[in-house]
Amino acid sequence: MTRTGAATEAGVLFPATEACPAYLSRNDHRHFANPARNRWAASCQPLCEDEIFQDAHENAWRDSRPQLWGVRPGLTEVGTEGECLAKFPDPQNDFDAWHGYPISALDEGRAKEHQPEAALVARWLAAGLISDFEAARINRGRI
Amino acid sequence: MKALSLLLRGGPIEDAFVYRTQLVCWTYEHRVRVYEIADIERALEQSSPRSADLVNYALFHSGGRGSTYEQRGAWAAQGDLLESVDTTLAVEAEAVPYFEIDIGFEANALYDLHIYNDRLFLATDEGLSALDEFTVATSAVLRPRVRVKAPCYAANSGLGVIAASCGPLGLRLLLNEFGSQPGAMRTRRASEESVRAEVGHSTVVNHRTRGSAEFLAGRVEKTDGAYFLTEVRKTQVSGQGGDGVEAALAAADHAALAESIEFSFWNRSRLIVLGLGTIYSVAVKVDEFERKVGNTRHLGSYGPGLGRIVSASTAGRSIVLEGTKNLMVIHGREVVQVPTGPVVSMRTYQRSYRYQRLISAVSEGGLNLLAITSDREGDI
Repeated sequence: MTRTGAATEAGVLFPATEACPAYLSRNDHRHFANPARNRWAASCQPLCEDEIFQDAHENAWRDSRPQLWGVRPGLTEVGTEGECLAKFPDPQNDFDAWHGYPISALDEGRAKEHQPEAALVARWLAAGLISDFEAARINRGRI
Repeated sequence: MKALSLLLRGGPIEDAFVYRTQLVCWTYEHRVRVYEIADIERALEQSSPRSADLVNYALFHSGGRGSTYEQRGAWAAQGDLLESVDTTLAVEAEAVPYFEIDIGFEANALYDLHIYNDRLFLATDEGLSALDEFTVATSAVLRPRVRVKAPCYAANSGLGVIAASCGPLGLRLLLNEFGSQPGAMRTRRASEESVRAEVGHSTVVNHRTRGSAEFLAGRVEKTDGAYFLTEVRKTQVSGQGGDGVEAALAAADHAALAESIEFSFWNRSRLIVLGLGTIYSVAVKVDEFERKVGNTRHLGSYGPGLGRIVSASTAGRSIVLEGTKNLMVIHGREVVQVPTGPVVSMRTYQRSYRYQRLISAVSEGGLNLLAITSDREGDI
């Protein structure tokens, strides 16, 4: 479902609906303000971010950790460094908007932190989002 | 330098390990598939008769070991042959004879495959397990023995030891794994975190992250003519610039690299480090339980065509790089781009007698078997 975002000081806010909580496309994961943060690619604007988030929320793309995982069919790149997966940490409070950012198992010091667990990858494979080859690359920390 | 390659095209191959006279594969259907190397060579002789002898020699017969007269003749004439024959070849994976073994796989995914001392190790999201009877066809379901009950991301070996890297659950060393020494097999948790480890030169080098290196000094004992690692303890790597490999790099005027190491691996008592488009080796002198850093040496450079560095290894006298986009082989100033595209796994076989030039890499098109020839190398 396409939502309309509104610009705020922190970023573009997509309001909550019955089906989906609010999502904030944060400026610090888009612009150069904080170079240490992974950034969404120009090809994935805030609306694209929200669509990936909504899909993750609707399908409960979760593993054992307190976050949702995002992926586009065919492992389309979503990050400026070629990242193909996204992470949406559970908000600290129920009334906080969700946010997310692209991630890769190749990010320094984050090999396992930025790698989804195999059971979730198997769900993506079963759903037809990714191929056997792509699932194997995710499981081997190549994505 | 030239790349000779054979693509085992198609087929459900997810990973592969060449061992003795067989190619042992893991399939997307969670079965062990085994080819005889001789059958692969025959398939190539039938499909590419002009090129087969040279390519088969390069891939499967380092130093001429196990080669035929015709293959040795082709290798001796490679200078002329390389100009006139196709050296990028393919055979259909399903057309080469093979057998498959059902191991009753119940995990979600295989993370790594390793064979050592005739034993197959499978690293999965449920643990590390071992199987001995994988070399002969059978219709029975062969269930591997569980060796480590924690998600295991990588397995490696050396000096009679299996190193199981379990991510945030640490590095587990399986000591006396094959019962070659007095006493029981035992498992030692040698570090709190591990994504990968290498064993060699009385040392276990553990990588807590892709670029970092933690040295574990080992006690090695000789039993029946073979050497076995019996104990390890953490040790600092000391040198002129201070403790750690990073200090050694900084002291040798490579401070920027010291802070940007993307990948490192242990190779013949040297730590190979990659970052900022450059490759350096750092010598590490082994002296009982001490490790001392020696000289650093520039080995080569790589450009952006590789994508992000995923892994690296050595084959022959070359360094093989796996990037997110392609493979690359570097030998001094010579660089060969290998257009496989992204791969699932990349392996080399430096400790093998027959396969020292061999690189195996699974791409979307199938299993690539590669060898790099160089006029300067002679035969390895």
